[in-house]
Amino acid sequence: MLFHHAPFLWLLLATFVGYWWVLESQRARNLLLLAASVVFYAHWNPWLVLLVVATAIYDYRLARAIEDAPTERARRVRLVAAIAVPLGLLAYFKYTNFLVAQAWPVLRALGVADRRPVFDIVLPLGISFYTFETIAYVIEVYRGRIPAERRVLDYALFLLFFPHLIAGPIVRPGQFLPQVRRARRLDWSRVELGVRLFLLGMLKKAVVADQLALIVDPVFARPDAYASRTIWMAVVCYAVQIYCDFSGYSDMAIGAAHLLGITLPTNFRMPYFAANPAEFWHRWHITLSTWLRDYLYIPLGGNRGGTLLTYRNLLLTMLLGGLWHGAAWTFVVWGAYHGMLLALHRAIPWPTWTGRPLFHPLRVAITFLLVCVGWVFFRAPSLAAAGTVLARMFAPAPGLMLAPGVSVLVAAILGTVLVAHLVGTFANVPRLIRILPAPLFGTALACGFLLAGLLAPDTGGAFIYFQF
Amino acid sequence: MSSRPRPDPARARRVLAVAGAVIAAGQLATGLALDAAPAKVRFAQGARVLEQARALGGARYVLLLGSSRFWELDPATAATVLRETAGAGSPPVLKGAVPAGDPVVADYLLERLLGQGSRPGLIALEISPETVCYPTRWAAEHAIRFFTWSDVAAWAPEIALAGQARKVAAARFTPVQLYRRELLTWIAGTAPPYLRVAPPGRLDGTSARRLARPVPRVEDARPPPAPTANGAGVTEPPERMRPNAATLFGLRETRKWLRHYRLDGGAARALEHLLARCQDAGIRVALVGVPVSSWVRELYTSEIERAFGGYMDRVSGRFGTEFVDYRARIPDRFFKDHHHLNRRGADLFVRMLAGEVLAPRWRHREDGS
Repeated sequence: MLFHHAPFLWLLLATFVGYWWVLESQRARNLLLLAASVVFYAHWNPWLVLLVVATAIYDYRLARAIEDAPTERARRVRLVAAIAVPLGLLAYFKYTNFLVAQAWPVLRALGVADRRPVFDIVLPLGISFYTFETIAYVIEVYRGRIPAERRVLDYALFLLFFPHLIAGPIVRPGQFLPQVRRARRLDWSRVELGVRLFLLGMLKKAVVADQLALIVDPVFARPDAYASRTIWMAVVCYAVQIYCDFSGYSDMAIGAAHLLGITLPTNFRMPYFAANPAEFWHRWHITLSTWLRDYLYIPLGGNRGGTLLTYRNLLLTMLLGGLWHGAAWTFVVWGAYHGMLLALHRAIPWPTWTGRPLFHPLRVAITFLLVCVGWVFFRAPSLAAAGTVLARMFAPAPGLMLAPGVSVLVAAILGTVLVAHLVGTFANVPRLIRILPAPLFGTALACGFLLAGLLAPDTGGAFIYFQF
Repeated sequence: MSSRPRPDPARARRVLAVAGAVIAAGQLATGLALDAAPAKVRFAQGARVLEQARALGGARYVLLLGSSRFWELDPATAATVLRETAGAGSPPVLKGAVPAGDPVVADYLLERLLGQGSRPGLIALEISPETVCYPTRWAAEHAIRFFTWSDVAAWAPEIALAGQARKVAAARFTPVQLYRRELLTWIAGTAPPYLRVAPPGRLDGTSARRLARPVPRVEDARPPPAPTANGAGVTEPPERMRPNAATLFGLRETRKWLRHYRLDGGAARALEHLLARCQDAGIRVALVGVPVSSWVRELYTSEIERAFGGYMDRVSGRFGTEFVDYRARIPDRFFKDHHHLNRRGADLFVRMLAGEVLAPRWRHREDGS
C-alpha cells in the first residue's frame, strides 16, 4: 500500500475518523492503530505480517526476561538471544543469496555442488527497519534506560505502527512508548501540520522523485550509451530523486502520525546543504545515523581509542551501514566510501580560513559533489556499471544527449527543489504560513494536492527505501 | 533557529475546511470540464473514428462498428473485396471498432457521426449475446470514456449490479487522478511523459526498433484454406485445439457475464436507439454475429440462444435490419484466444463479411436508391 495511492488514503481516513470520533479509550485507540497496521502490512503479504508479530512477541518476552534476570550473566545471555534471533532473520531473508554467492567459489572448489543454488526468498517489507527498532529496545532495557514494556499490544504497536513500519523513521522506544501510554487529544493544529507534511511528501515523491526516475533509470541501465553531460545530469537527478523519494516518504509518515497524535522523529534536515561529510550524516537519514552511532560506533569504542581505532570504527560502522541497505557489493562500497570520507574529514587538518562564511557555498558544493559520487555506487546495478558511470563523468565521452526541452524541464525541477531548500533554510516557514489568511492557505493546500494528483506519472511506483 | 507561532486550532480547522472544499470543488469542476471537452480528450479512439469519417467528406461509406473483436479487420481488404464485387462505385470502408465497443459505444459514435454531417450508407454492427445482456460489463469503460453526470445517474442501478460502482465513482469524484494523462495531453498538447531519454540502440548501431520486430509465428507460415463456395466455412482439423492461458482466462470472464443471462438494460436500449436512428436516416444495418471460438459457443446454452435469437428476430422485424450469424464460421485455429481473431482469421473473416454481407447489401442499396 503506497502512501500516495488511494487505498492508503482511505485506510488513513478511516483510521483517523474511528480513532478520534468513534473510540474514546486509549486502549481501544491503540488497538485500532494496531489493527490498521496489520491491515496495512497484510495488504502486501498476509503471511509475512505474522513474522513481524512474532518478532514483536519474541523481543517483548525477552526484554521482560532481561529485566527479571537474577544475574548479570543471565541478563547478557538473554540480551544476546534477543538480538541474535531478529538479526538472524534479517540475515536469512536479506543476505542468504548474497552470502552463498560470495562463498560459492570455495564451495565449488570443495565439490559441494555443480550449480550455485539461488533461493527464492521474499524479503519482508521493512525488516531492516523494525529489526533495528527491536534491537534498540532490548539494548535500552538492558542498559536500564527504559523499563520493559508490560503490555504486549503496546510493544507490538511500537514495531508495527503503520506510518513508520516499512521505511522508518527508525523510532527509539523511549520516544514512542510513552506516547502510546499517554492519553491523546485531538489537536486541529497538529492535524493541519500533519496534512501539510503529508502533502509536502506527496509532492516530493509523486511530482519530483517519480518524474526524475524517468531520466535516471534508462541512463543507469545503459551508461555506455550516454554522453558525459547526460551522465552528470542523471547523477544529479538521482541525488535529488533519492532525497525527495526518501524524505518525501518520511514526511508522509511523520504527517500521518501527527494526524493520529503521535510524534515521529525528524529524518532529514536539508542534507545537501551540508558543508562536510560529517555534517551530511547529521542531516541525512538522521534516525539511521544516530542508531549506528549509539549501537555500533560507540560500543565499538567510538573515538575513545585513539586515532587509528577511531578511523577503524568509522569505516566499520559505515561499511555495515552500507550493507544494511542491500545485499550487494555496490552498497558495501558506498558505505566504505562514506566511511573513508568521514575518516579523511577527521584526519585532514583543515586551515581555519576554509571555515569562513565566504567559502561556505564552495564547501557545500564540494560536499554535494562527493555525495553524488557515492550515489553512483548506491544506484548502479553493479560495480562495473558504477565504474562506467564514473569514467564517463570524469573523462568526456560522446553519446546520447537529452533533448533541449527535456533539459529545460529537468533544470526547472532541480531549480524548484533548490529554491525550496533555500526557503526552508533561511525563511521562518511556519511564520510565513501564519501570515497567510486561512482561506488562502487552505486553497494553496488544495491546489498542492490536486497538482500532486495531476503530475504524478503513470508509472510512479514503490519508494526506493522499500527495498531495504 | 526560527521560532514557531503558537498553535491556533480554530485557524487550523478553517484551513482544513477550505482545503477540503476546494479539493471537492476542483474535482467537480474538472469532471464537468471533461464532460464538456471534445471527444478526443476522454475518448481518443472514438475521436479518431469521427475524424476519419470527417475526412471522407460527404461520401457515403461502409462503417464497421464493434469491439476489439473487430479490431484486426482490415478496412482496406474489405474495400478491395467490395471493389471486386461491386465495381467502380464501391464505397470506402471505415473501421469504427474500439475496445469494449458494444451497442452503447456504437450508439454514441453514430450520434456524433450524424451530428457532424457524416452519414454511413451501410453499417455492419458486431453483436453477440454478451453485448446485449443485463447488466452490461462495460459500463465502467463507458463512464470513463464518455458518460456525463446524467448518464451515470441513469445507469446507476446497472452499474451497481455489475459491481463497477467503485471504478465509476473514481471517474466521477477523483477525475484529476484518473484522467491525469488525458488532462495533461489536453493542456500541454502532447501526451506525457515529458521527461524522456532517447533509448540506446545496439552496440553495433542497429536501431532498437528493428530488434523489436517479432519473430514470425508458426501459424503465419501456413496459409489458411480458402473458404468453401457455399460459405459454410473452413473445415476443422481432426483434433480439437487445446485452449491457451489467455483463452482460459477469457472463458472464465465470459462465463461470469453469461451467468443468469438476461437480455435487457442499457445495452439493448442503446441498440434499439441506434437501429431506430438508422431507420429514420435511411442507413442500412447488418447485425453481425461476431465469430467466436467453439469454447465460447459451448457457453451459449439453449436458453441463451433462444433468448438471443428471439431478440434478434424482434429487432430485425421492428427496425428493418437483419442478423447474419458468423459465430460458428471460423475454426478455433484462427483465434488468438477465446474470441479475438488472429491476423489470418481476421483476413478470412473480413473477406467473408465483405463478399457475403457488405457487397450484396451495398448493391441492393444502390439499386433501391
